[in-house]
Amino acid sequence: MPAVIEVDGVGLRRDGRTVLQEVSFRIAEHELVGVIGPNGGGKTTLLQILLGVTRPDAGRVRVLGRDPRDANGRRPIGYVAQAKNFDRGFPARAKDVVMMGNFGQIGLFRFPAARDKARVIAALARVGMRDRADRPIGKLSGGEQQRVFIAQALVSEPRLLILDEPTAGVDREGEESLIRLLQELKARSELTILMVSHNVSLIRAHTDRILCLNRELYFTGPAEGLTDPIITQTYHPHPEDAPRA
Amino acid sequence: MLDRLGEMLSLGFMQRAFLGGIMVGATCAFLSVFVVLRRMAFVTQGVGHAAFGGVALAVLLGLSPSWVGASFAVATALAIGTVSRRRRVTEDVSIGIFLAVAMALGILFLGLKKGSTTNLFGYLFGSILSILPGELPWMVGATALVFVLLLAFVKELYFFAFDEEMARVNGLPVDALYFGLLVVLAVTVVVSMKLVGVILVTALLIIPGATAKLITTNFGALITLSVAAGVAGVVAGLTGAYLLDISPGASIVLVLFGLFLVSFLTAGRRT
Repeated sequence: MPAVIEVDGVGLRRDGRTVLQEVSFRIAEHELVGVIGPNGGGKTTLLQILLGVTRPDAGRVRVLGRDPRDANGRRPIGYVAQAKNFDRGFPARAKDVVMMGNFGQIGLFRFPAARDKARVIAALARVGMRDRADRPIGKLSGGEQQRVFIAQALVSEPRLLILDEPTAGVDREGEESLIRLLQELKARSELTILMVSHNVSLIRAHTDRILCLNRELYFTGPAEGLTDPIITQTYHPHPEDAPRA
Repeated sequence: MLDRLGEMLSLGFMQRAFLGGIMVGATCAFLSVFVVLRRMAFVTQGVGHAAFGGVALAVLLGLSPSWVGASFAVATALAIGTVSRRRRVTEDVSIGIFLAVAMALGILFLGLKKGSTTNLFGYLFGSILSILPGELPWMVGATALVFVLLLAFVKELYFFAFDEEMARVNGLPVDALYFGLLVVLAVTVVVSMKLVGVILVTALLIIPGATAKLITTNFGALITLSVAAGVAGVVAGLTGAYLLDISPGASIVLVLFGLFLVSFLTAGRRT
């Protein structure tokens, strides 16, 4: 299968500290891959590199066959960021938030056309939120907001969907429901999904393959191969942070 | 009463005040939507104080207060943006520093000026009734340009105000939008100085947007209501100032506050 993501020997240092070191992996088309690792282990930075927002110091990255920094806003990648505390009174309905995902494609000095509005409704329908299209985003539950943000990522019809902690701040029921949604999206389309999460059991149970990252890659493979010692090693303080004798 | 209103509208200086005031009020109110949504109220204050420093420099050197004030305000706005974007100093701290420095320079320049500095009061507290015929095209042109720019980038600014990180990932020129907004803010502050003065200009750049945000959750309606509140504040404030013989700048701000209070109390009742 052709690779959607190719990461080869990627390294990054910031403020004299290693953030990523010799990270290499490939993700094939139509895979659902989970990334686990401790806080500060470089998970979000890895996603930023894949999105072209951060440039690595070393190594080579190809996303959908291109350097992610060359895509110039028209890249076929959907991204769902970590949940954050936005203004609950912000004047945006669910459909407005999804429409924002179209703005990069619509371009400057142009307003959304009828086909853009149709794509918004279709994206909301894909995540089961069509009937909430006119609800203010601040009035939706955490799980519903995450579905809207997934619809925002899907509205540009990407081939790759990247999610950073999509289940953070969502209750257990909402968490299961979100994972089921991702599996359905993958089953119903050619979508490749890369998801970062703290929830090891969730990632183990529902993804095709797992990456264990703590600045360097400790494991890459299907859930069956992921043993408790590997998890312990991944979450153990990185040698650079270990107290010196 | 009607006689007095008729008399007011027949006066050349009042006609210029209404025309200039409506243009400035509408533009400030449009900009206030992004000031409120992006939480830039403190930036507005910093840029206003910077404009004061520039006006004081112009008075000292005998140059045009508008041009020097605008240059000073734009330079300060860009400095605030550059320092806070480097992330070593937060935006509020950066504004606090530049605001104090601009005021200190303003006081220093005024101290160096020999003779009277009374014409500075017009820039501090506004002098909309003294708009000269030659100033009106400049005021109308500058506000019209800002209005058109905001309209041209309205969807990008909306996304930027909601979620800067996602706007960047979606390919929007986030840094250009941020610095562009700062420059537009600085230019608008300088143009509005004539209306209400640097001390009260923050009211025009904050209250209309804050008032409209209490009433609606629809972005298009928010812009319309904010512009309507800005224009209503200027028209009612100027009329009240003429009829009651009070300061137009203060009158405009108090009318705007009245509108805010009504929407705050009715919004509180709705929730």
